[in-house]
Amino acid sequence: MLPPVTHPALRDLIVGNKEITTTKFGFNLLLTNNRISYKKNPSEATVKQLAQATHEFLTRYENLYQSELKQLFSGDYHA
Amino acid sequence: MLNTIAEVTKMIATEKPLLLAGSESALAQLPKGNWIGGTTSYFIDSDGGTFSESSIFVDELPDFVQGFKIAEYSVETLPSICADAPEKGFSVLILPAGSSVHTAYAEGAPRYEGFVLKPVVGWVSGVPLPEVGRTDPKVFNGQTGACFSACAIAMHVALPANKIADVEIVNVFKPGEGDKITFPKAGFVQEQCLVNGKPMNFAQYLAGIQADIRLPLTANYNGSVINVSIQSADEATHVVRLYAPVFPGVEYSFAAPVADYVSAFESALPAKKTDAAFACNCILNYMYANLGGKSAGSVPSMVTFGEIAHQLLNQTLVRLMIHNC
Repeated sequence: MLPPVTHPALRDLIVGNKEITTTKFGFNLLLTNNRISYKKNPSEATVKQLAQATHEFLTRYENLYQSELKQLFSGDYHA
Repeated sequence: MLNTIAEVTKMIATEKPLLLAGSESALAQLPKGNWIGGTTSYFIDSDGGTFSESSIFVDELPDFVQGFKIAEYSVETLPSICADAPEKGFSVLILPAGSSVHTAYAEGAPRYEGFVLKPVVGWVSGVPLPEVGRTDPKVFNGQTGACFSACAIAMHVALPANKIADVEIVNVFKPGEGDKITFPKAGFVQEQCLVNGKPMNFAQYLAGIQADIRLPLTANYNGSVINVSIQSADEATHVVRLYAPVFPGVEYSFAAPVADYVSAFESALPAKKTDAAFACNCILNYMYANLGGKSAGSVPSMVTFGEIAHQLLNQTLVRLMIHNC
């Protein structure tokens, strides 16, 4: 189960303070578009909105994204 | 797989949902049924690259799909495509090349509600190359028999709880070591750019470096390489036309040359070649790599004028995979 949407790793991922290595196209597209959106409008409201969308995406794809979830949330993620 | 019109007619009679690609004259001969279609006359089958005005490429959706809905989209309604998709499933979208819906989706999709969250795959329909600019590419709604050149057609497909759709791309191109190019605005048509931070006219820049425009611009999306192919560069008007939009905030560079496309493609394919539920490849790969009669890997696909893997791509093989979950 994923940690809550307020987990600081999601914020770090969106603002570019955390990197995830993956070959999964959907995630790479989401991540890059998130960072473009944040650069364009670097507000907390943007972070909140993008964190929500990213959390929803990772929840939906949890079974396929085990490696990415472990990289992102480290010990806070348990399959 | 490539089929004759008679074979496809029989498949339509089974009422299974089908994704069809073929020439306008071939698709127009089909009976009404549970299918959507887009025009192209180029295919990659088990025998290699093929041009045919009478064959139809068929993607039959798996038996386990739980339901489907066919929908037509205009520029105004297209932004709701992901919202219209089932909570669990995927959508297949076909856009006529050069239409306003083609431009609208290419430039706007990353801002649509549900983008990436709900997978969208599909293709841009086209015409035989000598007909470009003279004949409009079409899409077909098989349920009504209607054919459009200015609207998009989509099939929204629902999956059972134990299945999930994921989109993969296979791209033989890698960013080269050359200049870093950025653009101030999104779009298919560009005049100004920044080359290594220095403002330049893009057409003049391309002429100056004698760019091989068979190679796409590439952007690195966290390790996934996205191509944008160049349609034309006119030094006189200072205008460069692209086959997909570039976006501000994204850094582009020309792809490194690929010596042997077929070998590069084979090695770029994932080791586990699970059958894709849908696949399409790009007409530019077909042309520039001279794929006529060559196998280009073991992935049969329609050859299209742009590929959709969430957003519009160029010179890329797109595969829709359905996994157990």
